[in-house]
Amino acid sequence: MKLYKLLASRRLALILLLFFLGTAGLEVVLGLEQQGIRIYGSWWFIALSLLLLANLLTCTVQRGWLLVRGRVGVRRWMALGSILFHLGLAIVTAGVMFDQLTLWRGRMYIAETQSVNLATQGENIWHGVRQGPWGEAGLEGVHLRLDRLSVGYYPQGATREIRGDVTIRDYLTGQNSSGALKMNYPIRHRGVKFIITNYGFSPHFVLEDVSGPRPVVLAYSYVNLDFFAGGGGNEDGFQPAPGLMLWARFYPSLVWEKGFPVSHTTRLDNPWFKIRLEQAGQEEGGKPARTLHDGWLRPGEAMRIGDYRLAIDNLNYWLEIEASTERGFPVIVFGLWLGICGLVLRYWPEFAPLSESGNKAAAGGHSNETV
Amino acid sequence: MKLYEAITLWAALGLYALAWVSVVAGMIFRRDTFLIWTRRLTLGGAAAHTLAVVARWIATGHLPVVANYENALAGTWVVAISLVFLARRRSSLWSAGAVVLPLVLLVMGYGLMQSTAPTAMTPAYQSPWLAVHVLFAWFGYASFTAASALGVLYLLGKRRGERGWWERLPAPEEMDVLSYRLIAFGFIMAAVMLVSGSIWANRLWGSYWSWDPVETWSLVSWLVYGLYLHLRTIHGWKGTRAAWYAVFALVTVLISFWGVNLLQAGLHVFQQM
Repeated sequence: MKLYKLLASRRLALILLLFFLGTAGLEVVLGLEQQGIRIYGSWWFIALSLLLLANLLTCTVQRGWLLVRGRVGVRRWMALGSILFHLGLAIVTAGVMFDQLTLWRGRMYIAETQSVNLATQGENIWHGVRQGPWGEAGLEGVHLRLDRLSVGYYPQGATREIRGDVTIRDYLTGQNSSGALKMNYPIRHRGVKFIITNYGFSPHFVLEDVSGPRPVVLAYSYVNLDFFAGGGGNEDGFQPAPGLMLWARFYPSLVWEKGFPVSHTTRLDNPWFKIRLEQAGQEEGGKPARTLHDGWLRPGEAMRIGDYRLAIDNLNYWLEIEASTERGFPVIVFGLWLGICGLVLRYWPEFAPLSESGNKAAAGGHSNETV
Repeated sequence: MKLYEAITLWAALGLYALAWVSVVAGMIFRRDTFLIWTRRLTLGGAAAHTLAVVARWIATGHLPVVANYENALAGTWVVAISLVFLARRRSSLWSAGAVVLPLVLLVMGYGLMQSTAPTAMTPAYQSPWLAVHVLFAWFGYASFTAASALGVLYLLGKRRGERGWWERLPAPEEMDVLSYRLIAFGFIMAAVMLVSGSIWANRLWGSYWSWDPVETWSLVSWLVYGLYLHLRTIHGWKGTRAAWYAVFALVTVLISFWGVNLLQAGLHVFQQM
């Protein structure tokens, strides 16, 4: 009984609300999460959120019981609105918690024309994986193919549209589908939502050893390049062959400003790669890495670097897609809708025109019986 | 910024500034003429402001909701229009301009200090939820601003007593009720803003809530006003206490609208894509 009284107390609700205000205020002002101090995901924050949820539910049950027994005074609609609003909040919180507890989430990179098996394949496919409660970390029997990625631009160079045409083949259910994946427009399959989280360029590098009578292909692969961080693009490296390291930085629209190469848009106005080919040095104080070449290369062109021939014979896009379950979605949406309806019901009578006698009646505030 | 947008915007700012001078002069010298001029100047400013918003809309081809300048331009327009709406039947409420107009000028000044170049509607913004989210945010925040202005008038009116210019103000009880109603209205609007924002975030970023600074402070300001409603309804907070609360609660709105982006970067600073 004591526990019930505690949970149903308004004082507890006020204290918890003040606590949340204080915590959020301190976190934002001091930037605690950015400093790596975990607040919102910490055990005590979650525990107090649960307490607030229990408090909301108990208050709602208590007021609901009073309403049923006709002990809430004259404004039953307002009381009902208040109860529905708090119930909505409780349902949303419960829905979010259910969603988080049953969530699995993962991100993957996929290049144009590539097909990916979405079943668990370790870090080769997925990164940033959050395993589900039943150990799930992928979609068994599902293949996703990125047929094409098209990026549209405004005349000034800003991105207007990112559209990935994808095909999903489900070998378990036999349900195959294809659709357009765009930002703000996720696609869903078997309860899993797919959204675009990033995109970039994927050049096809061909590195050949041409020192012998016949060229020997050392590397023949697409490389997903990050790009456009800080206006100049990031440098990405990969190992095309043992003892060699190829570094590439992509400028989709190369311009020179004060002697520095920059790209202000991702539109392919003047695409150039800054290429650096290195011969790996020896570890532990041995010979340092030796730069074999440091220069520029356009897509579709090839260059000779000593005994090697380097070509970029194709340029595709890659897409980063996040897949996640959203099992709490219907509960959350229902709770939100119920809460808004409750709020409107609760406050609608308060907006009646003011009158001499109505002032006091509508003065809000006045009625312990309404909540 | 196009020339006609600049002309109408600066005209609006000039008229608002004059209206504010007029309302303050009215308070000091206690002449009704100043209140009449406050009304005329504010209406003129709001008309010019409307033209500036329309000009921006035409120039960019989208609702002016992208980036700081456009948010300041359109957000302050809703605040100014809410003042006009509030005072449409009770001319004494033009004196709320003493609080509302400097806020409009400050936020607009901040917006003008940012880039005013036309901004593109990048894919992240291309969602039907954008208009719902932003419109309800403006309605909510404008209501909270007006409620806070009424709180200031209530406190000043109480202090000065019903003498001279102050007797032109509505009765303190009426201002108290109006302030409460505006907060209740703003609370519903802010709730819709949070709901639409979280649904949009789920479609765009893959989660309903990310504890991004702007999100967090929007929730904080909503909770602060929720607390006001609880204190008023349950504990009978009215009059002076409620007015002080309405005044100070506006700080949380200003922080979520304005201050958080100065303190921290978050998801609400939309990425290049």
